[in-house]
Amino acid sequence: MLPDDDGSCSLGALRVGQAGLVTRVGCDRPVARRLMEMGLLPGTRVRVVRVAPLGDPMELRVRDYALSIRRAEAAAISVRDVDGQSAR
Amino acid sequence: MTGTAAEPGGRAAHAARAVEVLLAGNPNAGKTTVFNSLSGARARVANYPGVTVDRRSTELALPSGRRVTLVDLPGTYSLSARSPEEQIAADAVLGRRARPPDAVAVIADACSLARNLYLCLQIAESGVPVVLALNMMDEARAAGIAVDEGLLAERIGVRVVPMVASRGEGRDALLAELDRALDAGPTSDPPRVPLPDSLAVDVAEVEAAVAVAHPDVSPAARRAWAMWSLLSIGDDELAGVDPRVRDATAVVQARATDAGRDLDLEIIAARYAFIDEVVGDAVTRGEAGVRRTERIDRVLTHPLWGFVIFGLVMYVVFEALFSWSEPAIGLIEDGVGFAQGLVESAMPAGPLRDLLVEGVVAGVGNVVVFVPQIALLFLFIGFLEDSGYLARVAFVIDRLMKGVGLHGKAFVPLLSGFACAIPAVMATRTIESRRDRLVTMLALPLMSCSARLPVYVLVIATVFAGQERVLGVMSVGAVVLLGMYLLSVVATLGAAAVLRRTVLDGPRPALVLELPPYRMPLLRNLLSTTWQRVKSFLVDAGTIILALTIVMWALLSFPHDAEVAARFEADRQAAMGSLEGEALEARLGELSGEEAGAQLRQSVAGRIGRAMEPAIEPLGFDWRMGVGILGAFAAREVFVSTMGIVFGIAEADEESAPLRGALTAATWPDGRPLMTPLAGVSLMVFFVLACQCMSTIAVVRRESGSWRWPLLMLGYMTALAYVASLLVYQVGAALGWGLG
Repeated sequence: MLPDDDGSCSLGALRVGQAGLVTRVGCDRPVARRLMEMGLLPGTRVRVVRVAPLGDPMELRVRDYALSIRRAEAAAISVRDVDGQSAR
Repeated sequence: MTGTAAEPGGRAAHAARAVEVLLAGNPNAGKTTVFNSLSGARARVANYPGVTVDRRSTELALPSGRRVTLVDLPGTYSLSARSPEEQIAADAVLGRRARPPDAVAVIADACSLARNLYLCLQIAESGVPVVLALNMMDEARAAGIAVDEGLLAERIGVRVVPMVASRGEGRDALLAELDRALDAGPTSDPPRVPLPDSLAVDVAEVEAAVAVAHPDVSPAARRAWAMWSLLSIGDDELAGVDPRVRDATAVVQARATDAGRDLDLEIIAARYAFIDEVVGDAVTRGEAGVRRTERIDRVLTHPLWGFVIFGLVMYVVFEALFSWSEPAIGLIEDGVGFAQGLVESAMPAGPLRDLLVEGVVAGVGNVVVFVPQIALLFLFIGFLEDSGYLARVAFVIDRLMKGVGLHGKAFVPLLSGFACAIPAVMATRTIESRRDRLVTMLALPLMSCSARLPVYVLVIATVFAGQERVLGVMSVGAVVLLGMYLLSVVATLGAAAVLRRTVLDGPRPALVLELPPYRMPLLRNLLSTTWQRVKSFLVDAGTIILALTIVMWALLSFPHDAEVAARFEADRQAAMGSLEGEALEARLGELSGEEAGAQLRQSVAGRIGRAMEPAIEPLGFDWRMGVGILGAFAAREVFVSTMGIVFGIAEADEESAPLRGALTAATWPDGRPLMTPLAGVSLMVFFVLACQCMSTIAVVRRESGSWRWPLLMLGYMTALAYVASLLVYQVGAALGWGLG
């Protein structure tokens, strides 16, 4: 997936083990608000830990805990790839 | 009421009214453990009005002797994210419906402090005295995390207590700090998160509206309310907000949208910026190796092993519900029989005795008999949930369930439905979204529960006995049985899908699921939660089941025809005059069976059955089966015993040869056989789909909070069963199949 001008791609495009810096949470308001309040907001480092055996949802490492969201939501979240640095 | 800085909240005031302390915190932070350790067995459980969320509270004495009421709030990540739980927490903390609390204890997981502090900060911002319990300090230390409690306390404006609630560490310190917090009272200098200028203007504008609408709210709380409003008020209705506040919020939001600003993002980002700075200064991280949770997850979410283990775990749960509860159920049934015998021998014969024996005692028995399965299921679910595994189940199975419009957490309740719908319906509590919960609750009674099995066994043994094998291996009966189970699964998923698109239509909540670290569940918590569930079932659903048992008994027993009774009494006298010993016993048994059948025929239920016959004849049922179906509403397996009575056979169960014989020989008035294979299949299909269980109605009423949903369930299932049976019988008859 080609990155945008500022180097962003969607969270869903990250491979397992890759980390990114969130630039935009573009989901619908209720979901976006919930995700941001749980710590997934622009400026946050996020790492893809694994994908469920059936392909969806994905497990992310965010602010010291594990959060699972579906690909549909991940597609609306933009991240800047920060390869080489892992999120905690 | 909230007081100002000059007025200490403390002892003088507490003598006049109860001091209320709230217990708040993220889910999985150990709040339940703390509450249980502080309340012991004294916890009271009530319901928040209008929602089916438990309100647990207890009386507590602090070290100073001060008595407080500790109220456990539902676990929440924020005050503003709009689920019923979050609304309850927001209302309670901000004092939107009643007076604000005197103090709040926030239980936080020290290992994921930033996210936990988000909730704590919102609460502290309102000016309420807060004690922050840093729980799971043992795990934090093991992960190399060190927290400067003093710095944290100073920056967030709260008192900090390190705890390991599972070991009771920090409990006394928590109580002592609560005492001090209550002494100090509300603060006039709560933490103020720095806001960008334009946002500060917006918040101030809404604050002004709050000040006008609620003049007795403190300045600190006003700001908290304003920020809560901006985050919470949106396109959909939020009840209980003053129109002036609502309008001010709408104006501010519209202006921000026009300017291309996202207020949600600005507020949340400002808070997290504040939190990140505090955490950066107060928390030091050591080097942590690969966590235990990570290692376990590699196995439990593994594409192959994950499913294998998942299958095993589900099998164990299922087996427990199906068989392990048998001994206890048997004991209860024996107990009920014993109690009935006692009452019978203690009272003179007559309607009052019958009411007590067949109505009240039987009714209580009908309620208590569910307890073993409910207890077992909740112990298991409690274990799965507290250990963290339930979240992984939802994670792994989500894609499958989503396809049918169900939630990942619906899997365990659905599976439990194969054993019994009652505990399964109660188990839907693990599903957060109310809509998803209702869909699951209303669809899962279609899963073929164990009570349907006697009906299947009776029918299959009667009409499919001794036939050739299918594929040379399986008997026809086994294939039919399997077919019924498959039908039930298809029907359940179909019903869920339809419900989701019609009656319970709405936006599907996105999956936002925390996968907590694996932890060893505490037995104390499991037992306490299970006991709560059992108790609420006994009281709420139990009363309905008892009432319905009495109603069913009345329908089946009244009116009592004196003529019939006299006739059989004469027959009995004749028998006693001419027979002796075993022959006499056999004849008396026969007579009692026939008498019961005769009385049933002209009871209310019998008359309804006969009146119903034209309606059920197209399904292949006659009035006797109609009465059986009516009786089965009490409990599906009662169909068998009712059929026994109708055909004049005493003590019949599904294995009873005389009953099978009677069924095989039974005919319609015109001589056609009654129990043809086609009629048998039609009857089984009816039982697969019909809501033949008053206990299910009672539990769905309890869990959904209104009669609307159980009545809808009864309606759609009855209609579905009728139509399906009709189709099966009519189409089968047209094809000339299974009639002879």
